[in-house]
Amino acid sequence: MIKITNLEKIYRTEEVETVALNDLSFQVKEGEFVAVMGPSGCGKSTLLNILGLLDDPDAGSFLFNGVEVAKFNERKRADMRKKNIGFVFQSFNLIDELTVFENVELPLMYAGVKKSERKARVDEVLEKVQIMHRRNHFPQQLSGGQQQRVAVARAVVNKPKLILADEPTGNLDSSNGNEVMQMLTDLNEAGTTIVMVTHSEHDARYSHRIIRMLDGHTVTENILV
Amino acid sequence: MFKNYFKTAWRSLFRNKLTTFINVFGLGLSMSVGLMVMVIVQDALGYDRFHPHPGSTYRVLSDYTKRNGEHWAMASTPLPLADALQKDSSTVAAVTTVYPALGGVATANGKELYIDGVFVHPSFFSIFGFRFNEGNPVSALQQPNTIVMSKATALNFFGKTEVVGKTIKMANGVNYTITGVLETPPGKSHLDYAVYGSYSTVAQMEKDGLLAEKSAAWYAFNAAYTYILLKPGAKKAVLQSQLNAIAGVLNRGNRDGSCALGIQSLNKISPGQAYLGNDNARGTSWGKLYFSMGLGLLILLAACFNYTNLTIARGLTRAKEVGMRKISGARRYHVFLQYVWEAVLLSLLALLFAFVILSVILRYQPFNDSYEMIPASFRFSSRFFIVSLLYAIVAGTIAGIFPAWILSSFTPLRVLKNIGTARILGNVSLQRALIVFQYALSLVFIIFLFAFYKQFSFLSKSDPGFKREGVLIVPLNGLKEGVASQRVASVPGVKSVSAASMKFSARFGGMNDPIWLSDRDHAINLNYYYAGDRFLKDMKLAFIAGTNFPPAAGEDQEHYILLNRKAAVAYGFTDPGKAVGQKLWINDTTQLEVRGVLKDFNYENMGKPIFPLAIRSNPPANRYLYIQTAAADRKEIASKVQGALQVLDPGQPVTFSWLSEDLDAGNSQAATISLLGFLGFIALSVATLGLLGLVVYTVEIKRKEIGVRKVTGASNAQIVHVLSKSFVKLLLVAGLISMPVGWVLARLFMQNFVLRGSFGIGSVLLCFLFLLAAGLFTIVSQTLKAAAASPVKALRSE
Ligand SMILES: Nc1ncnc2c1ncn2[C@@H]1O[C@H](COP(=O)(O)OP(=O)(O)OP(=O)(O)O)[C@@H](O)[C@H]1O
Ligand SMILES: [Mg+2]
Repeated sequence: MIKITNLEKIYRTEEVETVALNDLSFQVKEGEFVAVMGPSGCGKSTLLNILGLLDDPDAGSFLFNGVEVAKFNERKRADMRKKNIGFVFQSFNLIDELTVFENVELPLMYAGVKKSERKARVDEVLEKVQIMHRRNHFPQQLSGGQQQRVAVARAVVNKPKLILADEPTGNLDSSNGNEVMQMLTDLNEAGTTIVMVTHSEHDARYSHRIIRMLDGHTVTENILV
Repeated sequence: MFKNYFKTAWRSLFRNKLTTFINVFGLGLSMSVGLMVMVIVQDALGYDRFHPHPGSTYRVLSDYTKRNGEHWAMASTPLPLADALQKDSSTVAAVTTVYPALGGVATANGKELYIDGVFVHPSFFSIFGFRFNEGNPVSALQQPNTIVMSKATALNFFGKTEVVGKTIKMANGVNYTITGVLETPPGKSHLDYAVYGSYSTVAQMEKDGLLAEKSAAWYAFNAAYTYILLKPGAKKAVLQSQLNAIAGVLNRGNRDGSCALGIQSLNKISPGQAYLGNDNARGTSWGKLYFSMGLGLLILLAACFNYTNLTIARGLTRAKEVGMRKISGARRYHVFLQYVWEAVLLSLLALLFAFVILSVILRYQPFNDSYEMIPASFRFSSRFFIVSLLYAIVAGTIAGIFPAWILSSFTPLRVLKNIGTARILGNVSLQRALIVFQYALSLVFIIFLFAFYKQFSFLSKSDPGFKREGVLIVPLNGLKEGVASQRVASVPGVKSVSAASMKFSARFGGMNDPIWLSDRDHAINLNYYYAGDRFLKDMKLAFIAGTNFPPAAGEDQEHYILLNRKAAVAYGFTDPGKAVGQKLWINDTTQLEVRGVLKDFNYENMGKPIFPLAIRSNPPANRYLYIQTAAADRKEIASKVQGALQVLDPGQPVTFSWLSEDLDAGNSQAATISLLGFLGFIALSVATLGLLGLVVYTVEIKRKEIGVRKVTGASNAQIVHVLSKSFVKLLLVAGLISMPVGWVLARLFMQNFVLRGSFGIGSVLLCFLFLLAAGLFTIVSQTLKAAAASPVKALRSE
């Protein structure tokens, strides 16, 4: 599903040039659950942003489902993103002005799904992440774990093929963290491909394979299953 | 989708109460000005809507160019034109002249009142939509010496409308039989007179020398107005060619210049056009309308800027939302529309607030005195609501379009990386520029207002040239002067009683006629009043040459006339002594001897230039008693005088006013000052709210910096200083820009007055200090709060 080769990303500011990704290559197959690990600043988030089509690489190739997307413009990337990718962040990034239900509904709305169907699908995922009883609450009224479950619900409501998660448990205690990890595992078992950045060896063990990075480069790959 | 926009917008407005308040308050205030302008415009466009044939009724315009190039465009036409047009029946259904030569003091039912009147053809009432309460519109004005009066006039004279057959006598001795009484017109009309006399009366009056001979004078373009009703299906162009033919004939016989005749549709007459001379349009003019619209727009823009300003500033906190929407699949236009809608919603809230303000203004009329700034007759209509809704939507769009553009341009990456948040706004130079603009604008307002206020309070304190204290004025309303004076004179506290034909007021309220020395062609159109010798003495009017009228002057026949100095000079007597003894023609048969020359006094508003004036004596024309009272209890004297006069005509309430109060009302311009004050208040509020928003925002993003500074030992004062410095600079820049501008404007304004108060650099600086104080208070109140807050919280939240 994902094949990147010799990917490069360089941040230029007035004084310094930071090489965030350096000659990076790897693949992710459909249905895989991959964890990305590495010390702070090694380029994990940068990688995830490129995989998520939020950012473009400076060099290299990025095949998404066999299509070269490295040179896509913002519009095409947005289209691709909308159809295929769900995001989960460390800071949950829910919209404060919208209720739980409305937050989860958002991707369906922008995709032009009809109202009755939206309701059915949102209720379904809220049920799945066990937050149904809070559907009319606002994000600030929820605990961190609950907020992250809503964020996961939002990421999956559109049935994306790929979920990208950047330290999804970073702001959660271990029991809440485990719940979220269990949800991701369930999704993966249902067929969704997952790429997750984490600092936690414990969380990484939920995945099939760990890619370890250092200075924008892969160093080792551990296959867990 | 739309529902979602609405919900998000509503909640976001509700959550950020301070910002929402700032925006609704600022925008609402300035929108109330917009609504006021709409009221004025609606009123101005509301003339002549009830006439029956709006599409085929025209006023004839004339155009005269002298050989030397002098040129006049006029709404008036020569008198014979109407009859000439009448002859052609193929295009013209009806023609009428409107000849304004009937006004003056009239007597009926034993009462004397000043009325405004015109001579018209019988067809007048088939062209215009006035309805008859009494009488027959077709036959009413067929005969000479017949007259139709408005309902109000009938009630004023007779207290009832069933007056057909009764007689009314004009001051020149002509009697008219009342043949009709109109209903109160259903709307406003540019033609709106107390009486309409039959045009067939004019011929006899000209024969008798009571009117200048104009009914055959083709070159008297100033004489009257001509209105035409076209036949159904008749072409405008045909009418125009007829007029061209008439003008052609006139030009052939004229060496001095050439004329042209044109037509103007009835519904184009009001509001009037500045270029048109002798215009009988009513209400305001297009020039004034454009000016008020411009002012309303300027104030609205300033408030819109605030919204723009604050929304961009808050974009920081909303970047996350934009990012998430985009990651969830929103296109740029989705986000764009959402923010525009949010601004529109806010502007609709502001409209509600503006309506509240407008209702208060309409209810209490603070901006109206003799001149109606906000027409009191205004009524809310559904059209007004629709137009104001559109106005709010446009205003919201203007305010929201720019922040929506910026916010919708945020890429989702920006949110995730949480970078550049401070840089989203650049160095807020745009915001700063807007703040400077707003403050500069409000300072200009304040300076101008201050100059205006100073000028008028100066005027109301200056000496008008006659006695103004302790003078009680009572309108005679048909009472006989002699009897009334006698009764009043016996009231204790009354020192002397005299009478005159007018009341000193803001604008000249007397008469104006051509009066000439020897050559009729060099007649001067002279303002004049009637008054007795007693009046001149009591009012302490000073003579620079000659003497007062003799006692009882004009009782049997008029012999004498008094001039002011300006009038003496106008007749060529720079030495006023030489004017005394000269004889002036007041019509073709009567000469009056100049008995004295008065020192110029301000018979109109103070500060207006003084124009030539004459005073004549004709006791029956006196309509006001001028009662000199001793400095005692004013209320008591007034009520005693009222009581003394009431018995003479128990049916008619006796009114009174104090001269000094009348003059102050005319000179102090209280209504205009309150209007300017309101505008100034809006401008300053909008600017202050904008500043407040920016300061709050800056303090917000510097919370951490403030915390760190405090932890490392900075004092509150140091923090306030650091935070406030740049804002104070903005105020100073605004001051530097607007002080010269305001000063120049104030000076230009004062150029309009002959008498000028003082307005120097000191006054300008004072205004600036006031503004600076308001600004400083805004800044320091916020920065002090931030500095005094405990640093622990600010640092922990990171
Ligand atoms: N916008 C940017 N401008 C300049 N440098 C950047 C930018 N974003 C990231 N970097 C640099 O690129 C490198 C990789 O950053 P990245 O955010 O991918 O690290 P990370 O592996 O996600 O770290 P962490 O585990 O702390 O989240 C870092 O050295 C960072 O300083
Ligand atoms: Mg990271």
